[in-house]
Amino acid sequence: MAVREQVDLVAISGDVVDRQNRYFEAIGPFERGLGRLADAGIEVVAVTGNHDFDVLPILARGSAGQHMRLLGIGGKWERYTFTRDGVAALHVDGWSFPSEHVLGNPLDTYTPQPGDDAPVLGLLHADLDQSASNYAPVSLSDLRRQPVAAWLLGHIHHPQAISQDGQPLVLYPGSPLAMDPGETGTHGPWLLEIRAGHEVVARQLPTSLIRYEPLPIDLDGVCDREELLNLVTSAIQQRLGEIARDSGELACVAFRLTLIGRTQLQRDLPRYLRELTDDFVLQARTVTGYVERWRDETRPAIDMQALASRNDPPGEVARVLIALEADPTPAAYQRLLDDTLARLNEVRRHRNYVAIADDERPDLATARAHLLREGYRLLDALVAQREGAGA
Amino acid sequence: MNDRQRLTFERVEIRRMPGIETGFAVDGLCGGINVICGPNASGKTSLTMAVRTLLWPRASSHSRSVLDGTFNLDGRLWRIGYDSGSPRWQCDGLDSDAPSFDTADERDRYLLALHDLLRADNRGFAEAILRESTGGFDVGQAAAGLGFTPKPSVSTSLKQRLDHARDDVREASRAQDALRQQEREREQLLLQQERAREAGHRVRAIERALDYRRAVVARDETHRTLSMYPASIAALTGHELDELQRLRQRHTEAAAAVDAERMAIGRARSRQAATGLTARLPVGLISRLRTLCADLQGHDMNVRSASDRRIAAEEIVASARAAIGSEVDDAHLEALDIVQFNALAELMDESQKAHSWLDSLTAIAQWIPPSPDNAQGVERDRLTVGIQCLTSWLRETRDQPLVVAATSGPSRALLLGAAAFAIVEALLLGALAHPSLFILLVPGIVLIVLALRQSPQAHAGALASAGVSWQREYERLGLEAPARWEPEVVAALIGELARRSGALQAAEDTRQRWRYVHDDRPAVMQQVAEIDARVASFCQKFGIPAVNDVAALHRLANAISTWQTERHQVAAATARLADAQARYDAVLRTINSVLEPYGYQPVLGHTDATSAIDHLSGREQEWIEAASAEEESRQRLNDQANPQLERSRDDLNAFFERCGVAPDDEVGLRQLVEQVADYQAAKRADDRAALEAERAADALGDAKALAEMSVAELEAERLAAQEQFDRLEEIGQQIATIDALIDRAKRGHDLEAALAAVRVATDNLREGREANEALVAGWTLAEFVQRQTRDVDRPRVFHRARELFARITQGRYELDVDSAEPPHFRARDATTGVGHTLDELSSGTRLQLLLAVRVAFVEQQERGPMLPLILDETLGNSDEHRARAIIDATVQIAREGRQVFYLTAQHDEVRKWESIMAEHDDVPFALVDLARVRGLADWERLPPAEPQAWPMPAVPAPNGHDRDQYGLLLHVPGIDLSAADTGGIHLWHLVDDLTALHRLLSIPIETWGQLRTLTEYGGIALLADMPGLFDRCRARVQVIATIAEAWRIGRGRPVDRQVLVDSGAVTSNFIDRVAQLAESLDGDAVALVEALENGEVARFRTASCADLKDYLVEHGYIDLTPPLSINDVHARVLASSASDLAANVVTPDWINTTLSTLWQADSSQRLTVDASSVAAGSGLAGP
Repeated sequence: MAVREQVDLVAISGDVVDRQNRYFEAIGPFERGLGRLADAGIEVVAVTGNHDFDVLPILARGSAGQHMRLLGIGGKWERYTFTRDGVAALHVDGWSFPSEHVLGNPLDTYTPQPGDDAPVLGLLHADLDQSASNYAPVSLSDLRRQPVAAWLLGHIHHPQAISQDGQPLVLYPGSPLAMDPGETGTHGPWLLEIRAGHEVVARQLPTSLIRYEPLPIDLDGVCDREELLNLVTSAIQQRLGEIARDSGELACVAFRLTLIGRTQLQRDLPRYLRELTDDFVLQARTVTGYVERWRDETRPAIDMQALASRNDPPGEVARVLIALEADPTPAAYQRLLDDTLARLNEVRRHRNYVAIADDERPDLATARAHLLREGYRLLDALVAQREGAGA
Repeated sequence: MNDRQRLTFERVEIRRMPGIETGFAVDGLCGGINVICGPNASGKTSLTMAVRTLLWPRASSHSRSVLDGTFNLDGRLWRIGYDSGSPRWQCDGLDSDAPSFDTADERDRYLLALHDLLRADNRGFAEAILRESTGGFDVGQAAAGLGFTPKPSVSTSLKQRLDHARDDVREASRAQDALRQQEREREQLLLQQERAREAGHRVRAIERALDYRRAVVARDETHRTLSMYPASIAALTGHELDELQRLRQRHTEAAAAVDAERMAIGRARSRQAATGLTARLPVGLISRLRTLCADLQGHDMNVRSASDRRIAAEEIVASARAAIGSEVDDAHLEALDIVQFNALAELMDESQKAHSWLDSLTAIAQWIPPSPDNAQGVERDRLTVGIQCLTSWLRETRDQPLVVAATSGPSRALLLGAAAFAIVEALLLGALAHPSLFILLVPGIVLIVLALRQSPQAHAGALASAGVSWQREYERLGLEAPARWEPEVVAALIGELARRSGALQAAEDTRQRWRYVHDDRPAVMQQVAEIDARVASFCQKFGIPAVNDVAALHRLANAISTWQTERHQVAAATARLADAQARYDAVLRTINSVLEPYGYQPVLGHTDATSAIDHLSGREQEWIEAASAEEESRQRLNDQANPQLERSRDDLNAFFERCGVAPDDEVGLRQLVEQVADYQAAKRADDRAALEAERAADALGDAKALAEMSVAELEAERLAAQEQFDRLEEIGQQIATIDALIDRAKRGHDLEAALAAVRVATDNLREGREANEALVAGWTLAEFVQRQTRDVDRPRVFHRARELFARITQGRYELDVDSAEPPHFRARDATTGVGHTLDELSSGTRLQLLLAVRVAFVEQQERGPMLPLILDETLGNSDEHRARAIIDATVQIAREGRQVFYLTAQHDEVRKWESIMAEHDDVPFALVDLARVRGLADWERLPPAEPQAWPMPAVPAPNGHDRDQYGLLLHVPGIDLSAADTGGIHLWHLVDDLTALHRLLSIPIETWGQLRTLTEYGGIALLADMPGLFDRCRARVQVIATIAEAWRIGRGRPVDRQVLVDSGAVTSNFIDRVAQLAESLDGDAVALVEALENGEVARFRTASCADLKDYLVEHGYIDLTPPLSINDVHARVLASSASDLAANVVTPDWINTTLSTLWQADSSQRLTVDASSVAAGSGLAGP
C-alpha cells in the first residue's frame, strides 16, 4: 500500500510485534515488509508499544534496523527529521514504551524542540483518556496542547480519528486488519497528507480483507418464510452494497445478525434462518457477504394479555413473561428470578467452564433476559402442542 | 362388563374400495373378540379402513369407497351407508343424524399395532397421560422438546477443544520460547563460533610450529646418525661387491683371453709342423700335378680302350673262325672274296623255292584220290537246270495272288523269295567255292516247304496251271518227277536235286586238282635237281663245305666276312694300345718325380696320383690355415687381450682406491658395503629432515614466535586449541539449525493459528455456556409453570389402567405411578409386594401393562360409547408366553364390554385364539375367514394347521383327594412369617372348598395377593358363584398377618447382601465374606453381629461391626424388643379378628390351629408352615 501510494515515510505507532505471542510469526512478515519498503526507498519510523517494547529494539539492532528507525527507546523522546532535497520536511517526535506497563503520562517528559518550519508528527503508543490505564495514559487535551501537527497513537485496535479545527489531529489508526470478529468496521492503514500550513489530511485505506459487520433486522409482522427470507436478504444486500462502495481491499463481509421484533415465525425462525444462512452468499461489486452468525431476539406474535387470562400452562407462561417484561418485576416472580440466577451460577461453576470463569458473572438482568427468551420459546412450544392436537 | 354405552359392529360390507375389485360383506360379528384372519391382500386392512370410515366417515380419505355397516349402539340398531364420501345413518330403520362419539382426531387411538406398542416405553405413555391430564398441554414435553434441563448438559468436547487449543498455544508458545532461548543462545554460539575459528587459526599456527620443531629435531637426529659412517661410504652405492665381482670377472676373462690367444698360436704352429711343410708349395705345383694326373688318367683310359677293343676283336675272330669251321685255313679265308657269295645266295634261294613247290605237289597228290571221268559234269548240269525249272515253277506259283492273299502267316511270296535266294546262293557257292557249300540248299528248300504249306489246298489247281511250262521243262530233263506238283513236294525235290548237284560238283573239283598235280610234278622235280647241282658247284668252287640251304650259306658268308674284318681290328687295336701305354708311363714318371720331394712314394696310377696330390694339397692348406690362425691369435693377443688385461687390472686398482680400501681388500670392502644401505637411508632421512626443517621454517609465518616453544608445550597448546576448534562445525550446525527454525517460525503461523483456535474454542465454549444457561433458565421457568399448573387429581386414567392391568394379570400385578418427574409406571407384584419397572417385567407382562394403559387411556378419552378396538397382527413375532399374555389381555378387554377386532394372517394364531377362547365362554368370539368370505381359491387361503393344545400348565383337580393330599399334590409353599407382605400366601391355606380352590388356581389365581388385587380392581365378579370366599380368605389372611406381625416382634428382618451394602459399614474388601456369613446364618442379624464380634471374619474391624449393628438396629434388622409369647399372640389375633369372629367368617378353632401350627416350630427359627408339615399333623384346616 505504501509503495503503491508512493509515500515518503511510514510511521508505526507500536504493538507491531507481540512480545510474548506470535513473536517470530510477526517478525517474519514485518521484516519482509520493511525490506519491501526499503527496496522502494521508503523510510520507516516506529515506536514501541506495550506488546513489543522489548522486541522492536532487538529487531532494530538486527537486520530490520537497516530499514527502520526506532524512536524513543527507553521512554525518552527522540526526534527524527525527514528531509527532502536536503531540507527538513518533517520532524517525527517519538516515544517508545520502556516496559510492558507505563503508568505515567509520556507527555510529562515531552519537551518540544525549537525547530524550523517543518511540521512535527507526534508518534506515541498510549491509552487516550484512560487516566487509570497501565498503558501510558494520555489525555486529549494534553495532546492538543503540544505544538505538533498531528499525533499518531497506538494501542487501540479500533480506528479513531479525532480532529478539530485548529487542533492537531489525534489519530488511532487501529489495527490494519480485523483481528477477530469483535473488531467490526473498516480497518486499514491511514494516509496522512501534510499540506501547507501544517494542515494534516488523514484518509484511511481499507486493506482488511474481511470485515465483521453487526446487522440488526426487525422481523415485526413478518408472517411467512418467504417474507422472512426476503427481508433478511434485502437487509444484508443493502448493507453489503453500502460497504462495498468504498471497500478498498475488502473481499469479504461477515454479517452478525440480530433478529428482533414480534413474529409468528418465531418457532420456525431457527430452521428458516439455518436454511437461509447455511449456504448464503451475496456479492456486491468485489465484496462477498455471508452470515457468520445470528441471534434470535424476536418475540412471538401472540396476544399475551388474552393468553394470560387462561388457566392452563400457556396462560401461566404468558403471565410469567408479562411479569418479567414489567419493571420492576412483581414480587411473585422474584423467586423465579432468584432460582434462575442460582442455576445460572451453577452453570458458571461447572468444571467445564472454568476456563472462561473470568467472564462477567451473571446477574438478575441476565436471568431475566434468559427467562424472557426461553419463556417465549416455551410458550410457542405449548401452543404448538394444541395446534398439533387439533385444538 | 361395565355400564358404559358400547358400539359393536354386527356387519360390515365393502361394496367398493380401491384395491378391492369385488365387494364382500362380513356378517356375524360378535360383541367380543372377532378374529379376522386371511392371507395377505385378502382384505384385512381394507376391512379395518372400512370400520374406521364407518365410524368417522367425514374424516375418511376413502372418498371413492362404497361401504355399508350395521352396528349396535346401546341396544339400538344402526346402519350407516357410505358412498363416495357421503355418509347416511339410520337408527332402527329410520334416517338419523350421526351418533355422537369421539372426534376423528382420536381415531388412531383405537388402532393398535402391538408391535408398535412393544416399541413404546413407559415414559411415552406417562407423558401422554400427563398431557391429557393437563388439558392437552405437556409442559414437560415442551420443555424437553426445547432441550430445557435442570442440569447443564455441558459438552466436554467444547472444553476439550479449548483445552486442546490452549495446549496448542502453550505448545506453540513453548516452541517459540524455546526458539527465543535458542535465538539468545545463538548469540553465544556466534561468539563461540568466532572463538572456535580463532582457535582453528591458532591450531594451524601451532601445528606449523610443531612441524618446524619436529623437523629440526628430526634433522639433528639424522645428522648425528650420518656422522657415524666413514666418509668414504658416501661414494659407495652398495653394489660395490657386485661391481668388484664384475671387475674381477672382467680381469679373469681378460687373462683367459690372453692365454687363449697364446695357446692358439701354439696350436697353429703345431699344425704347421704337422704338415711337414716348411713353407707354402710353389705356386701352381698342385695345378700342374692335377693336370698331369688328368693326362695320366686320359692315357690310362686310352690304354684300356685299345686293350678292350683288341680283346673284343679277337673274340669275334675266334667266334667267326669257329663258325667257318676248320675245313678252311686262315690263309684261305683271308683270300676269299665275300662278294661272290651273293650269287651263291641267289642260287640257294631259287633252290629253296623249287623244293617248296615240289613238296606242295607231292602233298596234294597224296590228298586227292584219282577221279574216274568226266561224266559227272553232264549230270551235274542237268541237275542244275532241273533245280532252276523247279525253282521257276515255284516262283510262278508264288505269284498267284489268291494264294498269297489267303495266307494268314508270314508272306508266302517272301518265303518263296527267300528260298529261291538261298538255293541260288547255295548253288553258286557250291559251284564256285566248295562243294560242301551245297549244304546251303537245305534252308532254301525248307523255306520253300514252309511257303508251300501255307498254300491252301483249294488252290492247287491254279498253282499247277501257273508252272506248267516249267513243269514240262523239268520233265524234259528226265529227272525224277515230284510225287505231286505241289510246292512242298517240289521244294523237297529241289533240295534233293541240290544235294545231288553239290556232290557232283565236289567230285569234279577233286578230279581237276588231281590232274593238275599229275601234270606239273615232274617238271618241278627237274628244276630242283638242276638247282642243287649248281649249288654244289659253287661250294666246291669256293672251297667251302656244301650247304643245303640258303640260311646256312648266309651264316657262312657272314662268319667269313666277320673273321676277315675283325682280324684287321685286332691289329689296329694292338697298335693303339702300345702308343697309349707309352704315353701313360711318361706322365706317371713325371708325377712321381714331382711328388718325391714331399715325401711321397712313387704312385702307380692316376688314382694314387690323385690321392697324393690331394694329400699334398691338404697339407698345404693346413699349413696355410695354421699360419693364418697363428697370425690372427697373435694379432688379437697384441691388439685386444693384453690391453684388456691391463685395463681390467687398472680398473680393479681404481675401484679399490675409490672405495677407500687397500687394493684387493675385499674384506674391508665388504664390511663397508654392508653399511651402505643404512648409510643411504640415513642420508635420505637426513636430506628429508633437512628439507622438512627448511620447509617448516618457511611455513612458520606468524608462528615464528611459537617456534621457540618446545614440542611438548606446543602439543599442549594445540590440544587446547583443537578442542575449541573442533566445536566449530557443531556450533555452525547449531546456528544453522536455529536459523532454520527461526526462519521457519518467521514464515509459520502455528502460534497464530493456535491463538485463533483458542479464540474460536473460547467463543464456542462461551456460546455453549450461554446456551446451557438458557436451557437451565428455561427449565426453571418450565418447572415453575408445571408447579403452578399441575393437576393434583392425577388422571383417572391411572385408576382405570390399574383396574385393567390387575384383571389382565389375574390380580398378579398392580399398577403404580411413580410420582417422580417425569412420572413413569411401575407394576407391583401382588404376591411379593415388590414394585417393578417395565424393564423388570417379562415381555408378556410388559405388553399387558402397556395394553392396559392404552385401553385405559382410550376409555378415559372417550366421550361417547366404547368403540371397537382394532388389534393388528400382534402375535406375529411373539413367543408362546407373550402370545398367551396378549390374548389373555385382549380377552379381558373384551370382557369389559369392548368389541375387539383382531387381524391376523397367521394360521397358528387363529388356532391359539380358538384354543384359548374355548376356555372363556363368557366372552363372545367370532372367527372370520376372509378368504372364505371373499371366496378366494383354496391356494389363496391360509394353509390349514392341526389344532394344537395350548401349552398351559395343568392344575390338577382334587379328584377325591382330601385337602392335605391335594396340598401335597399342588406343592403348596409354606407361609413365611418373616415376609412383610401377605400377598404371597397360597390360596390353599385360605380356601377350604377344593373345587373352588381348583377353579381359582385354573384361572390362574394362586395367591392371596392376586385374589386381593383382582377383587380390588373389579374382579369380584369372578367370585360371584363363590359367596363368602373372599371374606373368609381376607379374615384368615388377617389372622396370619397378625400372627406374623407378632412373631416378628423381637425378631429382626433377615439380612442379605444388599442390606450389608446399604449399611455402609462393610467395605468392599469384606462384603463377600460378610455376605456369605449372613447367608449361612439365614440372615439372622443378631447372629451375624455376634459372629463378627467373635472374629469369624478376620480383620473385620470392631468399629465397623458396631456401625453395622447400629444400622441393623436402626433399620429393624435387629429387634431388641423381647419376643411375644404365644398367648400374647393369641390375644392379639383374637383382638384383631374380633369382627370376623363375630361374623363367623373365621372361627376360633381355625385361629387356634393356625397359631399353634405356626408357633410349634422352633421359635428360634423362622416359622414357616408348609403343606407337608400341615399335612403331617398340624391340622391347619378351615372352619
